[in-house]
Amino acid sequence: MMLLFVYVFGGAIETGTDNYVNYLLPGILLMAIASGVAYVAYRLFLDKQRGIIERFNSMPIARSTMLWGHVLTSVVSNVISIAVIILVALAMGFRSSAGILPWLAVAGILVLFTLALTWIAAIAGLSAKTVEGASAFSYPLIFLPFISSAFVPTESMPAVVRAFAENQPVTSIVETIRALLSNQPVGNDIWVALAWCLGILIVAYAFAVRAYNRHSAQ
Amino acid sequence: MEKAIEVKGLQKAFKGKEVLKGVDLEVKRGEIFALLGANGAGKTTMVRILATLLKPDGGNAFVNGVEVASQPEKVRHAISLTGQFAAVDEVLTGRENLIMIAKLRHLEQPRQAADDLLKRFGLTDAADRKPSTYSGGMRRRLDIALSLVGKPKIIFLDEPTTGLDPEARIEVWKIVKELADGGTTIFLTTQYLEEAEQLADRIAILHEGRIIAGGTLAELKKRFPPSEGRVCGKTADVRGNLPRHHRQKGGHLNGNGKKPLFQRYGRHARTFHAPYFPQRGHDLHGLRHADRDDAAVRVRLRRRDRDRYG
Repeated sequence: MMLLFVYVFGGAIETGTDNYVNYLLPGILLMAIASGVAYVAYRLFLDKQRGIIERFNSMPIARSTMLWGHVLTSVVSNVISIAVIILVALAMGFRSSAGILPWLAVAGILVLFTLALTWIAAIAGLSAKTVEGASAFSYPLIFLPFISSAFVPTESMPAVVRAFAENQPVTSIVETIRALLSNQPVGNDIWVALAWCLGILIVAYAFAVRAYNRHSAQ
Repeated sequence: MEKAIEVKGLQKAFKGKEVLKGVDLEVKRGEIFALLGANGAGKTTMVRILATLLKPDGGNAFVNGVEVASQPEKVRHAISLTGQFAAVDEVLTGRENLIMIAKLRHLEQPRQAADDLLKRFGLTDAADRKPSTYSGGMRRRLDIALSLVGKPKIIFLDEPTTGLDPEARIEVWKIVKELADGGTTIFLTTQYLEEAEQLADRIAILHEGRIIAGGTLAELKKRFPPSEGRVCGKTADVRGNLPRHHRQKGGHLNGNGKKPLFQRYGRHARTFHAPYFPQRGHDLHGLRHADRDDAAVRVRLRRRDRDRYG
């Protein structure tokens, strides 16, 4: 994906930076996470369908174990895929002047974003009726980075699209990560990004737990 | 504490629809208890309440002397549930599935426990394969093995043989009998009268949310004298011989046209709808009809056991 963007579109896209990989990386990371969490929905759906959730719920273990197990698995596997992507990016010429602290901040934001999306995936997995339904939710999530500043600057977009692009969560997250990695001041973006991540996380968590309890009560 | 399970006036409704309308029953320690009923009679709801997955709307249920609704945690230590679908993880191998449950149950030697169960259920050779490569019977065996991890005192089996071929079904029966011989209390639900007859020390018939009959097989036979009409034969013959209103209902005929079908019709069949048993020739009165399929399966199994265990 990243190879495609850098080598195919990279030449045509004018971003105002000399290194398109540097520009692109945050967006690619978010897309990887968005497609990575779909697996949680799929696995949760299968566990629900096969009665594995019931088996665990009738065992002497905490009820939340089931959901948290899936969520943590998702975080770990996404962290691994992010690490791989960053390694590939380095090989392609990605360079960052950022120190330890900004990198930690980036890691924190990415984990938060993963958690937020994972809980959305959990809702989808628990309330879906079919396997397709369980993973379909992730398409809009994967699509979101396209209508953001992830790949091209928003200045080139028509007014309506641009308004959407500049106010949706992906843009603020992408801008924050980009600024952190290139040692620029992050400004307000980081707070907006954090607010989005936490907001989604809390709402999605509440709905996921509700969906879980509802499933258990049927 | 003579009783493993005690249920009094249990009620449950879903969205205003009453599923259980005051169920009373008792299960003694160490016995096999069969809850017999047609689809939609409320069997699964019953199991789910006893296995702490659902809260009852009314009435009391005690499992292992502990109230289910108020102390589900305590109940969960004593029980284990095998649901209608084989609840095994497809990503893990058979052995890993067992080890996972053993660890979740905090056994001291999860590996050892897994090996023992694999051996006991004849799954040692398949232990390191994924369950997706298993036959239906093997999956069911693994499923039941998972339920036995940690030696629970009471085991719930919700329709353990639904969807299994006759051979696998007889295998499951054998496992259940062995379990009961080892002192485990078994609460099973089934649609098949034959299964209840074969396995259960006591049977209760659940119909539209109520227990309409209960007791040992002998007691049930006494209460429901043999019915007058009984037809047997190939599907076509059976259909041809049925009284018209039964022919129109049709729902009872569940064969593929080749297997012999045996069905009770007459007064009592209408009193309780439970006895419909798609494949085998049994009725509530223990009359065994000639059933060549069944006999053939038994011979095959006996031969296989001889080969396997010498």
